Amino acid sequence: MEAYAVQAVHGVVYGMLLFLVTSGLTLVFGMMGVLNMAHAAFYMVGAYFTYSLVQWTGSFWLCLLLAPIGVGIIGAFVERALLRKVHTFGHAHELMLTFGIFYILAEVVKWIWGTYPLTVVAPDVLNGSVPFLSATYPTYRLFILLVSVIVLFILAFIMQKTRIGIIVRAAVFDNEMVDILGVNVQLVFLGVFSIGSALAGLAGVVAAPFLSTYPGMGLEILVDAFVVIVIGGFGSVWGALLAALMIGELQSFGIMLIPELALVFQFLLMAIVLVWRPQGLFGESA
Amino acid sequence: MTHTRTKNVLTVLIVLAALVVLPYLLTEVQLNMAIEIAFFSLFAVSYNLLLGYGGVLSFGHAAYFGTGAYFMVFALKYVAGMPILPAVLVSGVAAGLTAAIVGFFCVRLGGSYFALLTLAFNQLIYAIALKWRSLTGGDDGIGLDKHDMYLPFVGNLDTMSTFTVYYLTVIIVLISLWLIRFFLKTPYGNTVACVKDNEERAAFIGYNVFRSKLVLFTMAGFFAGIAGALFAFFEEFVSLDSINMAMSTEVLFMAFIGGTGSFLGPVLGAAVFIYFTEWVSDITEHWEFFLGVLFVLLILYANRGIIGLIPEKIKNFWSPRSASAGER
Amino acid sequence: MTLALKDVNTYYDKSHILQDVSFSIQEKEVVGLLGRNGVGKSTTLKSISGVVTPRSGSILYKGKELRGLKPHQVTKLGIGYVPEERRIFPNLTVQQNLLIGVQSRRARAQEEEAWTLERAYDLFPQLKARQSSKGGNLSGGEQQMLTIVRTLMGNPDLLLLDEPTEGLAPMLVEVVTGVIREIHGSGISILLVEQNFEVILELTSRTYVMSKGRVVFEGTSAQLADNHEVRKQYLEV
Ligand SMILES: Nc1ncnc2c1ncn2[C@@H]1O[C@H](COP(=O)(O)OP(=O)(O)O)[C@@H](O)[C@H]1O
Ligand SMILES: [Mg+2]
Repeated sequence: MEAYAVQAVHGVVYGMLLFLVTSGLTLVFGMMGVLNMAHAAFYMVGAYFTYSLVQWTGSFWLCLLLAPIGVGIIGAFVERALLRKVHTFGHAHELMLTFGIFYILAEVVKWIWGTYPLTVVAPDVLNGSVPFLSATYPTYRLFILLVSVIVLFILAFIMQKTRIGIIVRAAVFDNEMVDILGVNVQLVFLGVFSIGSALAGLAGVVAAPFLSTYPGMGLEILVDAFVVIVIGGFGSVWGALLAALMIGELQSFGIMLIPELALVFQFLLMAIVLVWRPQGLFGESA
Repeated sequence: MTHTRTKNVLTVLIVLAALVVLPYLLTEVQLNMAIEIAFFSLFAVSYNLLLGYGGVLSFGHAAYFGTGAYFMVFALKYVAGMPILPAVLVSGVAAGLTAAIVGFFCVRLGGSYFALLTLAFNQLIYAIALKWRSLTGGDDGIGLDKHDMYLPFVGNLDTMSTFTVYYLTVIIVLISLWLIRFFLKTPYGNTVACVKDNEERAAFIGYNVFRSKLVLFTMAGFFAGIAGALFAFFEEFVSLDSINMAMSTEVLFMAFIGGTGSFLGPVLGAAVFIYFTEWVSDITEHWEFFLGVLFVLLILYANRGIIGLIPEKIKNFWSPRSASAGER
Repeated sequence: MTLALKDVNTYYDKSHILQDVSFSIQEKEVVGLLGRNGVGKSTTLKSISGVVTPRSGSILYKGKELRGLKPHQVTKLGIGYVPEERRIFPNLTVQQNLLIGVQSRRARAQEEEAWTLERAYDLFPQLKARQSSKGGNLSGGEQQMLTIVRTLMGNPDLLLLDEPTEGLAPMLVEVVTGVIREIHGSGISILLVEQNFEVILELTSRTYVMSKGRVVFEGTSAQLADNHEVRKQYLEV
């Protein structure tokens, strides 16, 4: 019984990490209608920044701040200098462009950091474990949970209570009208894209000591994130939360119970959702 | 009219003659490259059915290429005395069926949904190939049992010879390309290929957009499978490399770099791509980075691909009727 | 002169919609813009507000050229645009809809009679009653109020109104007419696009009539009322 409880918590932890990654993705998609494939690369770059920053500064805590800022700046450049240019070409081009950026960043990462998996060590405080039921549970996993929940609350607060959040939600619906009302929507896009990228970077930071930091990590999380988006519904933050937790649990118990098929389960779930509710659990329309 | 026709026939004859004599002019290494360009051309053209004609972006086309490649191995391995040409056909059919099933889920959803679903299904099929070790050899891959090929009136052909593989590949690719071209020119093929431009109008006049897209997707899968079978036959070995995301990426690069607006653009793209992998990789080990940069630059500044950079006059001469005309 | 258009030409792709459109509006004036469906009235307002960019000509507002500016830049200069389709945000509450229109940096916003949330609610108790309802749940009349008030929150000096009474019941038409008169009373110039001739006669001092992308009549509203030929040729169905 206890093994199940532990596995369930593992599922929540991975689910919340997944949510952290997809939150930025859905934010950007909801507002700009762009499925940003480069998001996965931003996540990876966040992890690699963490590796180097820990080497130079010795402080993991600093990374929680600096790496997302660094990735956010890259995101701002991508939106401003590249994405905006192809907007008029249509969405297939936008998708291809973000994919091209994903591809280039993955190569740059290999170029700079090599192809071998790197180890990032978490600070001592987070390295231990805390009592859990009759045994213990790794502190670092709880830390991931904490960070994700804090981000979730901050995001929810901004979106519900602040003017900028309201503007973003209005722009999701009709960005031209927001512009007509005197808000520089391009600037809002730039901001949302940077923050979405920074969130991916933050997810990379917390993932670095937890999962291994290697050039394939982007693609790996990208696929999981996509499955989450399809299940949760495009652009829906709550859908993403629910779906991320579902995938987390599914993987966690899948690996425990039927390891050979664990990989396949989430795709199966996705196929079922697609047949039953093509717009996703919380999506409004396809 | 007849004048252009004569010119067309002449062009085709010259190209065919060139393809026939090519093996005698090339070194062994170059000949191998030519074979690769041939089957990747078919792969890229099949992909362009989706991107150029269907207007949808797939990140999972390797699933069908890989399915074809694996089935080529299975057919020759598990069916005693399986002749080679039917084995190629079986591979194409297997890939086409897979595409039909995946397409059923994907094609009704447009845009970004389509893109990420194709990627997810690619990963699913990849996962199956990875986990089903007893059948596919998992990450060790699986060898292909080659045997001689019997052709009526010709007799037995030595399939170990690069010459044979070359002619076999080129002939199958040419026939496939011709079939695709032929299909696109039939009235039905024409409507199917125009889904991209007038989806709303098509739905309005009551013709079945879903079915057209599914037909297109299945066909793209079928010919990707044929290309995969030729790949397996050439490599004499199939591994997960044939079915992974990198392969799906490569075919996107080939098609787009060549040019999605014309029928033959992807053929050019396949050639450029093979050149990159064979030659630029000698110059720098970061050739993939430069490939990505080339891709992004083309998206930004020349979204008709390299073929779009060729002046109209030359293009009209050697590719008398490009798909861009049909694209309107 | 507050606003002056001179030889404005606007295209949608290759179709040439506005053809050498010229007209002007004086300070604190209410000017009508009339014409049958599809003659380019909405396109004129879109050209002024920056939603579409005219290919040639000039649009001077208090001496500044508007052509080429983005909609938010035009708004910041003091021109409020209420589009025909109303375009309220259905996923936001009434209050949130109004908040988006706020332009706190405009000089007019500092003045005593500036539009604020409180003042808007005083004037439209209906909106106050529904302040936490989702915009999508409002009736057509309430939506029309909301979209006008939302633009007023930016404290414009010039208001562009595109068919504000379209599709409203006669009683609501009167209410909206009253509101527009009130807005004018507070010192705002208005360019009013309308199909309802009575509303035009009641509110405007001068009128322009358009046909096929050109201005074909210009005069006081009284003159237009008497000019049966113009009315017959360009307005009545
Ligand atoms: N977005 C658009 N794209 C192409 N043509 C348009 C567009 N909007 C309007 N038009 C055309 O421009 C002309 C003028 O439209 P509009 O300005 O809306 O007319 P009005 O407001 O006077 O009814 C019409 O013929 C209409 O079909
Ligand atoms: Mg109109």
